[in-house]
Formats: sequence, structure tokens, C-alpha cells
Amino acid sequence: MKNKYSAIIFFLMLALGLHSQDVLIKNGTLLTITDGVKENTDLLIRNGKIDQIAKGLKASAGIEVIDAQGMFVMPGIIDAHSHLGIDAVNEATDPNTAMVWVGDALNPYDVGIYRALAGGVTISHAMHGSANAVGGQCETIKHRWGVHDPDELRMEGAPRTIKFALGENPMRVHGEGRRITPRTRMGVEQVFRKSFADAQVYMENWNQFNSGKIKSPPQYDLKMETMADILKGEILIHCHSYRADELLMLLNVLSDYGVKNITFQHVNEGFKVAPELAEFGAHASVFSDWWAYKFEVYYSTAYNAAILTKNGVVTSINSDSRELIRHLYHEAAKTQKYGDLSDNEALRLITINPAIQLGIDKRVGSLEKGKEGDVAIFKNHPLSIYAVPQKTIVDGVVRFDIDADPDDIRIDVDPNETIPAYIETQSQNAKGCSDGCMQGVHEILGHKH
Amino acid sequence: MIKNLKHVLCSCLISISLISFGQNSNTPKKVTNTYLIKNVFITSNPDVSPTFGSVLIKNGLIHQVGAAVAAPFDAEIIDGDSMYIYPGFIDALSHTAIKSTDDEDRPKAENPGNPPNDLAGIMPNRSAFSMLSSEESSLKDMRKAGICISHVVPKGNMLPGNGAIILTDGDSPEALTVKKDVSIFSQFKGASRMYPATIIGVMAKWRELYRRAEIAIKHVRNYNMNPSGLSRPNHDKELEALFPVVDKTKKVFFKASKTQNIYRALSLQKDLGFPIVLTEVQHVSNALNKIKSAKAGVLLSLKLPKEEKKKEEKEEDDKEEGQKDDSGAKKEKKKDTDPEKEALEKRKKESVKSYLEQASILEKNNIPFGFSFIDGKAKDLLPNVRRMIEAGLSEKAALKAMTIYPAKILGIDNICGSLDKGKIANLVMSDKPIFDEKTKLKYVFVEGNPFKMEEKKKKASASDEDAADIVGKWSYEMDIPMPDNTGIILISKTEDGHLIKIASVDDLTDFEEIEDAELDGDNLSFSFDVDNDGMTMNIGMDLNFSGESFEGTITPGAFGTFNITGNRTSKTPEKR
Repeated sequence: MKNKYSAIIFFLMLALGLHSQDVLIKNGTLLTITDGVKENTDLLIRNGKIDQIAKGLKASAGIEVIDAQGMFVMPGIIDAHSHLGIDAVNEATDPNTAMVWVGDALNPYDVGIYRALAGGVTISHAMHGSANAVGGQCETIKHRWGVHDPDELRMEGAPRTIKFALGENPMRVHGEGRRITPRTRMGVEQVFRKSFADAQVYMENWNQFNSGKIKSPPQYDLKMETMADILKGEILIHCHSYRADELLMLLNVLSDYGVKNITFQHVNEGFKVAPELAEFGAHASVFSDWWAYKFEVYYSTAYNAAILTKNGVVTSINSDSRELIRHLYHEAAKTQKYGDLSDNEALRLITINPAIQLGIDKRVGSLEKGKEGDVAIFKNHPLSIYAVPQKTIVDGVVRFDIDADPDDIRIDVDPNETIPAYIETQSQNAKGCSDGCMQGVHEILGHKH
Repeated sequence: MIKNLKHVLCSCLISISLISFGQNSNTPKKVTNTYLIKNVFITSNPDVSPTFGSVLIKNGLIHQVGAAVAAPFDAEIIDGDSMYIYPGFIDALSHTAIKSTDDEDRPKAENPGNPPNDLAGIMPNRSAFSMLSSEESSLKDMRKAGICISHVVPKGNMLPGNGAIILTDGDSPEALTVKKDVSIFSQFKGASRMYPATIIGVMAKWRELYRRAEIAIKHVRNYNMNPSGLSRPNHDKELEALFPVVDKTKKVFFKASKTQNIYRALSLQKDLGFPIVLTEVQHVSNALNKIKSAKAGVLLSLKLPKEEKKKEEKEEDDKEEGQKDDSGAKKEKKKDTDPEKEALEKRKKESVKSYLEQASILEKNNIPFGFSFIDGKAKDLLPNVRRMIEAGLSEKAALKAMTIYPAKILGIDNICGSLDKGKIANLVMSDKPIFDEKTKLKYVFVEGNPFKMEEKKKKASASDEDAADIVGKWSYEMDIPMPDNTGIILISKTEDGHLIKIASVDDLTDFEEIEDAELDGDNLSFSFDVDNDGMTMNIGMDLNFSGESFEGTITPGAFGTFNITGNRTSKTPEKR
């Protein structure tokens, strides 16, 4: 009964948006990531930021205290590749759709956000899909479950990012589907080269207009504006990729155009070219042990993350899935079986490293004074198979609590829904799409809403 | 069998109209343009209480309202007989009187990544005025609901065109029109298989078009001042149509039913700065702060959640009673009770309640609003407003939302919205106070032109015999190379026609009611939209019934046309 009662209060608080951003976590084992492990230590969050990390902190009146005795306290997990919280994934109409931005389609009611919180994940990178060589711009979101305004879901001030894609997905959608470039891997390269070259001309035209050398304005083009911002280094590239030859191809293209910020996503053959990636300063965001779901992903290894790490590549483990995102800590732990990474190396894969890849490592990714109050509290070590997330805190607000976890957490209930609802879930699962990146691309012949 | 009887309907029903009107364009010329309505309770605007008196109408305008009005010699006198009279209702946005266009002949885009604007649904230069037809039955549907003025916009995708203010009576587009090109209509509806196909595409395209229009305006104005050394401005018709929006002199009516789409429309408004009216809004209470700060207008949708069937409620009552005397039906009770299902039902009920309360929440927040009629139907106006009143909306605010508020939002409150002298003589007359459950409309005056509502006795219509017997449960198979190629259609007989429901291919319990269907003898045709990841596709069906089977075609979007066959599996359509 007590549980039920607290669940109701928790839910009401969510509904009313009543949140204090102060919380004191007592006597936990702190996995700080950047400053070792601190046992029996307290962590105080005030106004949403980590205020103090020390032993024997006293709570001021009215502050919420969480007893973390025997628990593990780690920075909120960060997923560098997901598609949660957005109502559109692929604008699959052109090989280059740099002008679109999934931040325009945020949906704070996506219950996947809450489920990710239940896996200790506080931040995810909501990405455009991989249908196009140059996909749309992505959005880094904080899992502030309970908000209505999409602006409150955004991680304000996080750098802009964009999706690129190599290989079979853009070739299939545009080459096979429409008989246009890119029909081959060579064609994919040319999409990038032409887009960058066009953007250089575009920038030059506007420079001439702005400096008064020409009097008539060039045509404003949002796609070219975005490509120009990439050239200026204002947007980080996150590129869907598998094969080693293509990884090197894109590095060459970027070198030619002076672009430095690149994180390769999936990057299953990254282990083959790890030194080259490290030398360029490219980052890698991988699956722990998932491959062979299409031809170009047949050559892979569960040692990928470890090999990349040992070669000095900033590496993260991502989910690209509504299910995997709920146990990224298990995914990180696999690198200890395959590759003998240390606890800290393994935990970096789901905390500070993805933060570096998203350009937010000064703000999140470790337990440090001054950083944002994003914390996951675990029963048992997060790399243990017995790990169970207990509480997940975003900006000092408890957004998931295993002791106050109602059966029905939905915020937005369709007044015309069919009950029982599980039928809908079943039919969704039956669609069995193996690759989250290709949402919205498969021909829709059913008439589902 | 006579096959030329065609019933075109705006509702989901294929119906034979039971109500007819005294007037239409074929009637002989009127004797007089002067009418005196005597002995009525007059609510000249929602802020005043009704007064007993008379209304004098001359040449389409309200000439005099008062307790004692002398009858001019040429006046036709209508004895109000203690009835109630109100300002004519205003439909703040709909597709009334807009001709349906054939999209089938549209050429395929050669380059789907950069299609021509018209194919991509970007037609802000189009005018509803040029698409009006005085023959459309939707005009009659509006009048029947007491609506005298409609703000009508073209159908389409992202930017269908300019809206017009029309009367709901007139025998030509010119006669219907009060004002043309008063607004721009927009929706988050992507083009089919070309850019912009999704929400993110529509948002990006809006941003780009707007910036282009801003730059183009500057260029045109610079050129007009001093063309020397400047290239001649390119007269882009779509961009020029957006100039008044950029100048903030024309409002954008943005269809945004869901909370998420309200926020999306408001973020465009905030980034770009145009004046906005949120349209066809179903749920608004989780976005109030931003609506206020954007000074956005709001038009609520008349589409409300389906009404709980009273039968079910009764069953529940029985259950509760059964719990009190714990003898008897205990066994049955156990069988029926599924706590998970009950919890879901409870949340669904709360959700329905919340949707019904939206109008009263707007009232409490002092946000004036009107009603739009895109997804809802004209005949639902009074019944659904009554449901809103039951959920807390005051009658005064309800009447305002049907009259003076939309007049103000549309900028036409100087010609309509209240019964003031000099305004257009748009009036609604009912036998009881307007929100009384048993109210019947008796007269609707559109610009002084009286329409008498008469219920005719139901007679066995010839068309009942002409139309094929299509009632029942039908299973169909499509000749499409995909795993799920079968489905179910339910057709039931209703009071005034047929109700058609089609089940989703991948979820045979998820039914959709068909909006526009035509039954012509034994031929049934209809179409519906499917929505997936922000991409909308229209699926058309054309079925020929013959006894216990049908054959025909299905046209899913631009994928081509496929054969479809079906059989009647039961003469009685099951509920679900």
C-alpha cells in the first residue's frame, strides 16, 4: 500500500511539474569516472548542479535525502545514438537533407524516454535516420520525463549535430529505390564532395553580397546554410558507418574540406583502422556485440570497443534501440569479457566518452563539482549482471524511482484508444524492424495510425 | 436498377437527407427583402440577457431591433411565437463549398528531393475564392447547423492557400464571398513521397520559405526605390503570396490538433514572427503559457472523443449494484474483472474528460476562441458544444465562441457576430433556448434570406431500393505483394444511411470510420488517409458489390492500383 501511495504522489508531482532541484545522496559508493571510486561518500545537488562531494554532509531543512548505503552512484548514462522522443526519423526524399532537424519533431510524451530512465539513462542523442548520405540535424535531449514543452526536453546549449550515412542504406533508398546517385559506395562519397563544394560556393556568394561586392542577394538555401555551418565547424558530424574502407574514405573527404569533428556510429569495422581513427581524432560509437543484420555488417567483433579504446579512440557504446537503451550498463560490461577493459574504462563508454562525442563533457558525464546533477543510483555494481537501477536523477530531479514506478506512466492518453492496448504493442513488435535508423523508409502499405 | 442516384456526403454516413429546406437557388424570385420577426426572445449579443421584441431586416441587413418595431408596408411578417433568436453562428475555419479536386492527374515529381512547389503542396498563392462552388452540399450542412458565415480554406498539404470569408448561401462564388484572401492556411501534412514528406521536412521548408520571402521583399523594395545595378526581382508567386505574412498583416491559420503540433507551430511563430491562429485544436491545456505569450488565436476542433455508449455505463451501474448484494452473480463478476483493463479504462475516461474540458479551460484563462470544422462536422456543433458546457464551459462563453469571438479573430466583427443595426442579417431562431437539449432550429437567416427548417416525414426513399444491400461484415483480399494482404470492412445501417468502418491490415481490431464515401447503386467508393512517422498516404477504394461478394480496386498513394476482392462473412456487422 505504501508503494502505491508514493507512486501516486510521484505521478502527481510529475503531472504538476513540481520539482525541487535539490537532493542529497548519502553514503553511496560514488563511481565518479574522472576521480576514482569514493566509498561512503555523500553527493549534494543544489539548483540542479552538483554542489558538493564529501563525507558526512548535513542536509539543510526541507532537502530530499536519498539513503544510498550499499548502493552505487554513477553519472547518468548517456546514449550517443538513439531515436527516442521524436515523431519523425527519416526525411528520406533526397540524398542530402541537411536542412531538416529532428529537434523540430520532439515528442516529450514518448514513453520510451521513461523506460530509458529506468535503465539509468539521463541523456540521449535523438538522431535522424540513415536513409540519406547527409541526413538531418539531430538533437541532444535530457530525459526530463513529465514535461509537455519540447523545449524543456532539449539539452539547452548542447552543440548542433548532424547525421551522415555511408554504404547500403543511402544506396538502397536512393540508388535502388530511385535510380539516382548514390547507387554505389563511390556515389556516396560524391554526395559529400558535391555538397561541401556547393556549400563553399554558397558561402562565397553570400560573402560577396554581405561585403557589397554584389548587390542582388543570392538565393537563401537552408540545406546549404547547414552544410556551410559544418564547414565552419559549428556542427558535429555523427556518421552511420560499417566498413573500414568507407571510414577512411570519409576521413579523406573531411580532410580535403578541413572538417575535424566526426564521430563514427556503429563503425563495426572500426577495429581494422583504429590507429587511423585515433590519428585523425575521430570518435567511435559502437554496439557491444550486434552485427550480421545486413551484408555490410558481416565482418565484426565483440572486441571492437576494447580495440578502439586501447588504440586511443574516444569510444562509446550506444543503443540505437528502445530496448538496448534500458541496459547499456550490461552492454558496457561486455567489454570486460571481450577485451578486459577496467571498470572505469568500461563505464567511460557510457558516460564521459559519449559526452565528449556530443560536445557536452564539460557539463555532464562524470560526478564532479559544478557539473549538472544527472545521477543514476544502482543496487549492485552497474557492471554486474545483478545491477538494478534504483533511482535516476536529471538536473537534481528524481525522474525515475523504482519504489514509485506506476504500471501506467503515460502522460498522453488517447481518448479514443482501443483497450486492451497490448494488441497494438503486439502488432508494432510484429513489424520487426531490425534497424531503427531506417524508420519511416519502409513502404507503408498497412493503414495504421 | 437506376444507377444515376448519387449520394455524396460530408459525414461518415452515406445518408439520405431527411431534412429539406424551403429555399434554394431554384426557387422563384422573392416577393420582398423586408422581414419583421415578431414576438421573439432576442439575444443580440452573448453579453446581454434576452429581451422580448422584434427584429426588422431590410435588404440583407439588420434594420432595427427593439420592443416595439412598426411593420413597414412591404414586410413579410414572421411570428416568432416566443421563440429565441441569436446572431448567426460563425464557422471559423472549414473546407465548406470548396470543390474537391482530382489529385490523380498530378504528374510524378522528377526529382523528389526538390519537387516543384505545387506538387509539394506549397501553394500559398492559391485562393479559396477560385475554388468555391455554390453547388456543394456542405453549404446546406452549415446552414442546417445555424452557421451563416464560414471562413473557408483550400484542401491540400503544407500550404494549401488563402482563405475566404463566405456566406453559407449564394448562387455563385461571387455571391457567396464576403472577403477573399483573408488568411493563409497551413498544416503539418507532408507531400506524398517527395520533399517535404515529414514533419521535420515541413518545418524546415517553412523556415526556408519565410527567409526567402523576407529577402525577396527587401530586394523588391530596394529595386522599386532604385533599380540601378540590381538584378530584376524574380516574381516568385509562392513567395509573393507570403509577403503579407512576413509583413504581419495576414494571419497564418495553422492546423495543430495535438499538443506536440501546437508547440511546433508556436516555435515557427516564435522563430519567424508571423501572426498565428492555432486551428482544429483538440487539446490545449498543456501549452497555455506559450499560447498566451505568442498571442496566438485558438480555434477548437469540433471533433470530440467518441461518446461513451450509455449501454456500457448501465452495465457498470449494474456491476456496482451487484457488488452490494454479494450473492448471486459473483461468478460472472469475477470473469469480467481484469484489473489491468480497468486501470486502462479509467485513464481513458480521464482523458476523455480532459478533452471535453478544454473549452472551459480556455474560458478560465481568458483566451477567446472559436470553432473550426475540419475533422468535426457541422451537425455536431450544438451537441458537442453542449458536451463542453456539461464539462464546465459557461453558456455565455459557448455562445461567444460561436459568434463574436470568431468574428473578432477573423477581423469581421464590424459586419457580423451580433445583432446590431447595420450588420449583416445573419440570425438563428430556435424553439427553445439554444443550449437546451431539446432545442430545434426553426429558421436560419443568411444575409436576410430566410431558411425554414422543416422536418419531413421519413418516406421510403427510392434510393433505398436502388442502393445495393451492403450491410454486413466483409473480408477482403488485396492483390498486393505484401504479407498482410487481407482485412475487414464493417458496414452497418444507421438511422439515415450507412456507417462504414475499415480495420487496419496489421491490427484487425483497430477500426477507422470512413469520412467521405459515395454509394452509387452497387458501387461504393471512399478514401482515407494513413499516417506513419509523419508521412501521410491516401488510400482509395472503389468496390462493386454483387450479392455476397465484391470486386474492385485499391489505390494506395502513388504505388499504383491493385485489385481487391471480398466476401460477406456475416450479414450482421459485429461491434468490434
